[in-house]
Amino acid sequence: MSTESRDARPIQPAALHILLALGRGERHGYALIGDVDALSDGSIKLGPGTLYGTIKRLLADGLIEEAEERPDPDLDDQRRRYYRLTASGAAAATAELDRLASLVRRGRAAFTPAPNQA
Amino acid sequence: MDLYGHLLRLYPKSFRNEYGDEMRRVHQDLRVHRGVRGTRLLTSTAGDVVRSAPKLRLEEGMAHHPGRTRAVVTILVAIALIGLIVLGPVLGVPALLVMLVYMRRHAADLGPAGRSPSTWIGLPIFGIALVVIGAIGAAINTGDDWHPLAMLPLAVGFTTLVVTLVLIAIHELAVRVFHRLPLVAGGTRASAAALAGGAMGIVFIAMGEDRGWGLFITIFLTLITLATLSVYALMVRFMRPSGAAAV
Repeated sequence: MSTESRDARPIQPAALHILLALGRGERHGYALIGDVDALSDGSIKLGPGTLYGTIKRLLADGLIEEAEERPDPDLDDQRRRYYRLTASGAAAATAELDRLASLVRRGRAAFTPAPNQA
Repeated sequence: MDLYGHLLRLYPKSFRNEYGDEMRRVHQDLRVHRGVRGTRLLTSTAGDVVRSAPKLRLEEGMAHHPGRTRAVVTILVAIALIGLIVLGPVLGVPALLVMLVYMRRHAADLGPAGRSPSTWIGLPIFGIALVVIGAIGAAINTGDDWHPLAMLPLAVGFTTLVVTLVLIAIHELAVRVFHRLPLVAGGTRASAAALAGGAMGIVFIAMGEDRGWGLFITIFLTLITLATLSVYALMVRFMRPSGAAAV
């Protein structure tokens, strides 16, 4: 799937949170679950199936890639697979954040009464 | 093998081969490091599998066998519709609601399911097979009252044939009067109509003196089908997502 076609559509919350977590650096699956939990204030709790299903789609879309080298083999289990953000992934996450920011602005404008109505 | 290892079998084989070990490791981490245990572990694991496995199976099917997958999904939809008609609101309405929510969630993956010729031919064949099974059951039934195992296939098969004919008629109307694009070739539509219509005719002849009841049931089922389709069309119109996300 091309980045162009992917940009036109919103990214689902779980996928966006994974991209945001990977924006901080390479992560393995279990670390991603913890980061997504923290980033979403506990509202998104990923299980292994949802996590790796989303990872599979993000890999297929070229938004993330598997890291060949471990960040610090002494500190972690070398058998784990680590993932990192690609340039396309960073661009897609930024575009989605811009879209959400625009939505929030419009939403606030819609629900904030005009000065002469207050 | 642990229980989670067995649950992994619900995922497509290629996905299991690629991520199964990692998933098992993460599941173990959740149990050991986060202290997720007992009922909470059971419900969260079950919820995760229910949310992810069918979607991945559907994606896998659409990637490798799109025609067959669409046909299976369409047959499941047809069974849900028939369930609505035969089993009534107790089981049919929840089945229809589940189907609509599922279709809405996977709208981007499913595409126009009605374009598979195998579905058009498969539906009347499914109806005929059930009618034949019911007829065999009725033939070997020695008592005065019909056994449910003979009655049920006959009822569901007859309903399938009626629903198939109504759907074909609606589609023909849309193509010929309202100039909509046909979903499948004319030959496929004609074959499906001939299969369903021919089988209906044989059922009517076999009914003998009960033909009046057959006609009444046919009209009744047709009206229910039309009502269901109208409700379905309205729900799809109002539930259509504004944009489908791939991930």
